[in-house]
Amino acid sequence: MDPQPLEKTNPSLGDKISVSGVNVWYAAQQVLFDLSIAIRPCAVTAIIGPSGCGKTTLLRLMNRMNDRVPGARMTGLIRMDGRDIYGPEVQVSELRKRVGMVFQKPNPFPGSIFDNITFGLKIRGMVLRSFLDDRVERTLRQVHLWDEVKDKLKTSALNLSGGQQQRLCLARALAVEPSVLLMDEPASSLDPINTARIEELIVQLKAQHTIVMVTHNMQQAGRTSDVTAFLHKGRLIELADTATFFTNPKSPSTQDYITGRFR
Amino acid sequence: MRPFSLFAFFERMEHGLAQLVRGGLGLAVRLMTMTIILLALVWLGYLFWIGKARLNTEFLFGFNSVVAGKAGVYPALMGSLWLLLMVFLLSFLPGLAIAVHLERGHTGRRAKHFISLNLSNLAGVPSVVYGLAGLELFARQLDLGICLLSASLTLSLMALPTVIITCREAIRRVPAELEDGAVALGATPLQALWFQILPAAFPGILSGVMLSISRIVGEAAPLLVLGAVAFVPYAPSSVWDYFTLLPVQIFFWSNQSQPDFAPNAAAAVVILLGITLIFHLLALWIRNRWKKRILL
Ligand SMILES: Nc1ncnc2c1ncn2[C@@H]1O[C@H](COP(=O)(O)OP(=O)(O)OP(=O)(O)O)[C@@H](O)[C@H]1O
Ligand SMILES: [Mg+2]
Repeated sequence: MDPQPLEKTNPSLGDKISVSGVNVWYAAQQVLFDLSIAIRPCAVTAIIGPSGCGKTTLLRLMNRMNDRVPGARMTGLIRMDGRDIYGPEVQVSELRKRVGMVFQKPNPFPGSIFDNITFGLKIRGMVLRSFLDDRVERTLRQVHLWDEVKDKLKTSALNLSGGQQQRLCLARALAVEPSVLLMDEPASSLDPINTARIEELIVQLKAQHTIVMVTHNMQQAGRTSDVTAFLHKGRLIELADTATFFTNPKSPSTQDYITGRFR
Repeated sequence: MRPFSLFAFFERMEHGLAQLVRGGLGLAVRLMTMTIILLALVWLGYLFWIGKARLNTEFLFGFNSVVAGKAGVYPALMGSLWLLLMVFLLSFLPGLAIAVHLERGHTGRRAKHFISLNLSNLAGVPSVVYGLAGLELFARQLDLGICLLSASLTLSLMALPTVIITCREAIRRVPAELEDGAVALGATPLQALWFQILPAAFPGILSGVMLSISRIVGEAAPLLVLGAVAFVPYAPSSVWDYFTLLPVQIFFWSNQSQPDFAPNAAAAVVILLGITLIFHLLALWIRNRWKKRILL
């Protein structure tokens, strides 16, 4: 019943996801240029870079969400567990079952809090009530939302605050236990306490999940990630272990960016 | 002098308008609205008053007669109810399916534009023309004859453009992020459509469909062309039966030279309005239940 085989999450087996030589266009505008990046399994990779540099686009390539953007075009190769995810035999919905995503803008379903979390489980055929109840409680506790909503699980998710919705969407993605978790600024509308809790959670999650996280918060990248990538104008400028990245950046523009001297 | 600015102009105008409203314009508008509502109520009361002698079960369940006082509305009532159901069945699902296809399917931009244009044109075609088309297509070419089925098909065809347009509108109003969220969890496009998009669009779909169908069931013109007559001695028991309908019956009764038929026409109008009212209340009820269920 468990949807995610964990067999390939051992670091010794190499990269979880490898992006090589990728170019992306929206209509005539090219937004990613010959981009290659390897995502280490069971680790947190942070992607940083100025607004509009292509972070979301890169993230959305990894679960093929960009297939859905009319006019978007891509060349290059993206492999997950060694297999081309854009290959002809790949079923997109199966891929997305293994690669979860938390969007930049919270997008809860217009149903109850409970239904939001169980939808992903239901489409995987998990419908046993006691199982669903357990999973809802577990994931809401993980994202530290349980205490705030435990008495109103059957009320509309649209009535939650922005920060609560963001945590709900994270819980929704966690509930199905994807082996890869793509997070687009998962703490952008959270208060400092909840941000700290979510960062803690992210660090815990990498035991079982491969995490790719977009963030604008340099400290956050430093605290939570193992590897950091700096994107600028659609190109990968620097990719390094987080410790090295922040203490000893090679590229001058990385240096400018992380010290806030970036123009 | 400062240059003319639309922003400043609007601000001044709003200020002036607020003063006008305070100074009696608001009262005038309210009075006008009240008058219109009152007139409608007076008219309804007048119909009740004229038809009150005939608003009884005898009339409701009686069959037609050349004697005004003995004539009943039953065949027409049943004909209209049948038609309502048939038009709903025949236009709702196909209309929704076409709308979904146009909104979510792989229709090219040009084809979509062409279809949209034609749909709004078709929605504006006078009902008599639909009657003629139905007569030729269903009654003659397909040899269905003058029966409830050809009438239902004709009216469904007439309802279809509006149903498609309103369903498309309702589906389009569902934010794309909703579908993104569903497919990102691994839902197939059909699962996302069925479990997230359609439920969210349902209230809009329902009101649109109800509105277009209830309007169409009040139509007499296309059915007169199609050969419906008022004097049918039995209520339809299948779609192949000959039929009459409330609007047609009303038309014939109000056209009679003897004044005794006027109460019949009035009473039938009240019944027709009653059906429409019940239909709308039902739609409202379903919609509210649904909104509560999926917590929009
Ligand atoms: N659907 C789209 N259609 C056309 N252009 C797009 C689309 N999505 C993104 N772009 C363009 O692609 C570029 C990269 O966008 P992307 O969303 O990946 O940036 P980002 O790094 O995530 O920015 P931010 O930090 O502001 O979220 C931008 O110039 C943007 O205008
Ligand atoms: Mg972004």
